[in-house]
Amino acid sequence: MGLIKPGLIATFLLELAFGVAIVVLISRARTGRKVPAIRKVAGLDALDEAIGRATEMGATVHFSPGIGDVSNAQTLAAFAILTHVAKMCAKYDTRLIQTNRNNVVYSITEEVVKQAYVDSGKADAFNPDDVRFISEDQFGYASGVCGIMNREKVRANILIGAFWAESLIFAEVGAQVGSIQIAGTANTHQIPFFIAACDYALLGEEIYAASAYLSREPVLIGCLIAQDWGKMIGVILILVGAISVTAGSTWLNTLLNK
Amino acid sequence: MRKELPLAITFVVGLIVVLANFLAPQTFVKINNEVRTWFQLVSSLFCALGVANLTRIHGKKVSQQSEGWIFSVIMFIAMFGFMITALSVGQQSALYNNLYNNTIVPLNATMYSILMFYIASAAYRAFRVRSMEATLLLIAAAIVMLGKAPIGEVVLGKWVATWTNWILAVPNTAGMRGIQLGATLGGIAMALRVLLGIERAHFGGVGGE
Repeated sequence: MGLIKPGLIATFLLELAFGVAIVVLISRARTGRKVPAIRKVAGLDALDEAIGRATEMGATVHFSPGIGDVSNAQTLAAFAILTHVAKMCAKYDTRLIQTNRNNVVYSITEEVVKQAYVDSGKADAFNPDDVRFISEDQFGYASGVCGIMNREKVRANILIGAFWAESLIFAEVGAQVGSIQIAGTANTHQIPFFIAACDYALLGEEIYAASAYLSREPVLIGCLIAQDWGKMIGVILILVGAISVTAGSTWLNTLLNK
Repeated sequence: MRKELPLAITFVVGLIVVLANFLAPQTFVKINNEVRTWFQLVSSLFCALGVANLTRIHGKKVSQQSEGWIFSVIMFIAMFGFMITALSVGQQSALYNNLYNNTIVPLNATMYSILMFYIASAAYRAFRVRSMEATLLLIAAAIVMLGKAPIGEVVLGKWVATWTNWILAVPNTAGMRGIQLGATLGGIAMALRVLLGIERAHFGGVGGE
């Protein structure tokens, strides 16, 4: 019996190669080599605009990291953006209400927001009551957030993470109360709702690029380059596979299923 | 140690989970199953944190009789009522099931049903002839909506269903797969950054160190 499970050898090798590429590019970035610029991501640029707008109106910023649990990569990406949003809100003395559906995520976001306020020199301004656990039930969470958006004068609504059916509920209620909305998810079935209902939408991988984009750390940008390489290899495999299958050969399919 | 210990635990546990998915020897699978069980146990303890947060926030509202405090009272009755019922007669009991089926289920259905109206209002706001892309979106959406509704084919003919199926099967699927490819690679890269301790936002730090 081999070391790798049958049917997963190709996947394992591809993922290993991807991981090695990330490590190599991170090492290169750490040695001070120049890294390429990142293209403009309108949704991430708009974060400061949204918080500024809420500050001018004396209103509240709402942030939701989605309804995924802590093992979901989208929730982890949301933490990076939450750090930036919380620091901006601390800097401008803007109220930030951060809602959670998951208990474990709530305990992490409370720490993230608190640390952001401490890092901004505004530890006293942190209000633990503004980081809230609402409900583990999907629509219980949705109705709680809708109530908060209506009652608490939310004028900037930031929705980053794993969303399902409640995505359009959040986006529409946010539009009804007149919020500027920035949303992002990697759940492809919810992206159309965010595009239709929100002012700015981050599509799929753009939420994972947020930490690199907002901090401009060379090490994180190195990871983005590896992602781009991975995508290029994926496109090449798709093209080669499509051509070979059209020609009547399934060698690539057989190879990738080893 | 305050930073290094959580990073080390993250790396070791994450590595076990990744290797258990790929490696054939059952040792890793057994360790992974044990880790998952402990994760479920520990995360269930966090329920107490959520209950404490709800109690603190809504308790303050009730004690100060802030606006809408009566709804906080209702929340307490529901939360502790379900808790006490489950602990005393069990989650499989007829009483608990009746409570759940006659409150939570219709409430969830109500919230889900609101989506129908929100889809209409979102479509009304989004489908405008503002630019070339918005016009294309409007045309495609109109064709798909007519093709999916039985009346579309009756009034306009079979072509609308054919075009609907083509739009959904070709450009829509291609776009979604492209986004999915990028998102999957992004997710893998994010997971690797967390494993290697480069991404530290969940520890309250900034990545890249």
